[in-house]
Amino acid sequence: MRKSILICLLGTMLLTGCTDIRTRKSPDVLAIDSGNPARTAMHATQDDTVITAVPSHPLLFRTALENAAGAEISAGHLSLLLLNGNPAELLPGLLQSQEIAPTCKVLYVRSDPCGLLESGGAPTAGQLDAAVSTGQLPVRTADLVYADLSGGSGVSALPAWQQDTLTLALFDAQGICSVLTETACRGLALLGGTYDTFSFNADSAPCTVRSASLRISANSVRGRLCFTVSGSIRTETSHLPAAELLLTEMVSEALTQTAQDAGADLLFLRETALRCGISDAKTCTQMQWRELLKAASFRVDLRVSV
Amino acid sequence: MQQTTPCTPRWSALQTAAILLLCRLSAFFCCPVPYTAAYAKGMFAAVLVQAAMLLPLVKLRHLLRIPVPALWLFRLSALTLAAVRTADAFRLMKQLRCPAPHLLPLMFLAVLLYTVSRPQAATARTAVLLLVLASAGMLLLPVSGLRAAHAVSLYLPGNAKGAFLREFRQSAELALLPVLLTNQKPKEQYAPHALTAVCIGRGAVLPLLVLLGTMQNGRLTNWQGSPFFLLLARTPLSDAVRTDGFWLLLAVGCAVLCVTFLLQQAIPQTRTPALPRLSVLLICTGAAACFIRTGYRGEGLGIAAAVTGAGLPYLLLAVQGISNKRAAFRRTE
Repeated sequence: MRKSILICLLGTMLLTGCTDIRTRKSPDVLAIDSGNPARTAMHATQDDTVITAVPSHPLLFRTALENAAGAEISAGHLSLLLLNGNPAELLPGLLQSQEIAPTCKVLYVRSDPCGLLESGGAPTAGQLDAAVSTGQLPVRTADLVYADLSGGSGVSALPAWQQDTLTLALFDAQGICSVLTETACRGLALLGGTYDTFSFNADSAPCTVRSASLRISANSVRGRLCFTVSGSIRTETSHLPAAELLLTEMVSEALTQTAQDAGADLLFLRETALRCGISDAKTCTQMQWRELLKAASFRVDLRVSV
Repeated sequence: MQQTTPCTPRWSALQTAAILLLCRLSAFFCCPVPYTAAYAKGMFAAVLVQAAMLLPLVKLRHLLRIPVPALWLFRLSALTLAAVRTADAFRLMKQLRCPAPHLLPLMFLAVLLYTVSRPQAATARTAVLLLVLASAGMLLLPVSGLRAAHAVSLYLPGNAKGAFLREFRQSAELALLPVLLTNQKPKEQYAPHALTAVCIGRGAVLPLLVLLGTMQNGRLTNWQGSPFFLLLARTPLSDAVRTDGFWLLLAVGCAVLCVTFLLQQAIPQTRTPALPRLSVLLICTGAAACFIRTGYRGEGLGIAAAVTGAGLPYLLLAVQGISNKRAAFRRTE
């Protein structure tokens, strides 16, 4: 009996060849232009070529690329997705149909992402990783972008490529709302805490954050929400007052440009309000929460030490 | 009353616990409901209630004699549950975009055909092996996932009552516990050990996993698909949902084992000829196909099975007690 099982197993193994590897292309960078007409381009890792196609709908990029490449397309190992138009229309569809992995990096390009990929001028996934690890940007993978869009206040943020620099763009169901400044991006990265090193220039002297323990709390004063960011930051610097001023400015800018100006909840403010017993946060709609955030006040109380 | 005695190979405590835990794990992998703190709370409360209902059975199992009609009820529920679990597994495979999804049911059928023809001891041994693998995998999850977790996500709103009922629905395999308990190796300590392991495994490990998933998945509460595989996709150890081979194979393995176990319970005897075995398999496949087509997830059936499984033995014991007293009364007359 065991012999026959072994023979069957060996026979099956001999018949199982990975033939599809030769006919399958895996893109590492994919660009989707949701203009009219829609365009798509991908960089195939196997032969280092860029393949372009014109799909009838941006979400049908795979079929168009398969026809153009004459091969099956597997986007499971996609490391960077470039897109333009309204990300709120494209990203949920791509994620729910599992066309891209949840942790895929997404980059917003104002116009012609396919052209950018073809010309080789697009930033790499490594550049985005470096921006995150050095505290220039917070982590914003496709799943996080989608999570903020479906939860919180319905406003999300995704990395954007603007004038050859990486920044963050805020968007909602209608499209892009605003682009954040470098200071606000750094503030969000500091509050997110996913950086490896966080260095900046404090009054012509280098300053590095050694550790940061930040906490957001909420309270309601006469129906108006008040969020407070408090905690301690240990730094390596020779100019402590300047460092403290800059760090406070980064956090304040992050809160002002996201929550106060655009009503964006990127820092789990709604859940924080629920934790602090503010019942409005449980029952209100996304739009109502957005208005509550715009009317809220924000306070930053950081203790910076060496 | 016509009574029956167990005719299948006897299992140890670990094997019984492993089978029951893997059946629950299989349903857990396939469940598409997003994780919240309320989910964990409801799940924990349901396990406590189930433990309170089931643990007294350990003391009473020597007295329990399952009559033939009740045994047929158990078999019918096992067959229906096997069909529900097969449909769930198929939905999971389709949702995870397995390569060549149309071939998978055929492979599934082939594996089932082989395993149903094997003695029950083989299923029990495989269950222990799979449980060890699953435990090893789950030990790694918190280690790799905690860095990206947000504790504040625990305050996301959820429905504890729904989770409580869902836990009962997904614990339908407990309906077979009376049969399993009377089918254990004749050592006094085995049955309590098996039930304790099942209660700890389900009451402690799964709610903790849901809490970890809540912190990890955060606001992705309208994600369509298994939140467990979303959790895996978002942990630093795994790269993408579709390439996470270990967990995919484990999920398929758990589903096959769960369905095999249920079908083995549905087949009348150990030495049943090939034709009845095959017909049971075909009925299960047909029912599963119907469930897939209609989108039925065994909602009412699961709750009924779990409650009956925990309540029926007490009913049987009560009936037995009454009939024994009547017989004694007649003898004295």
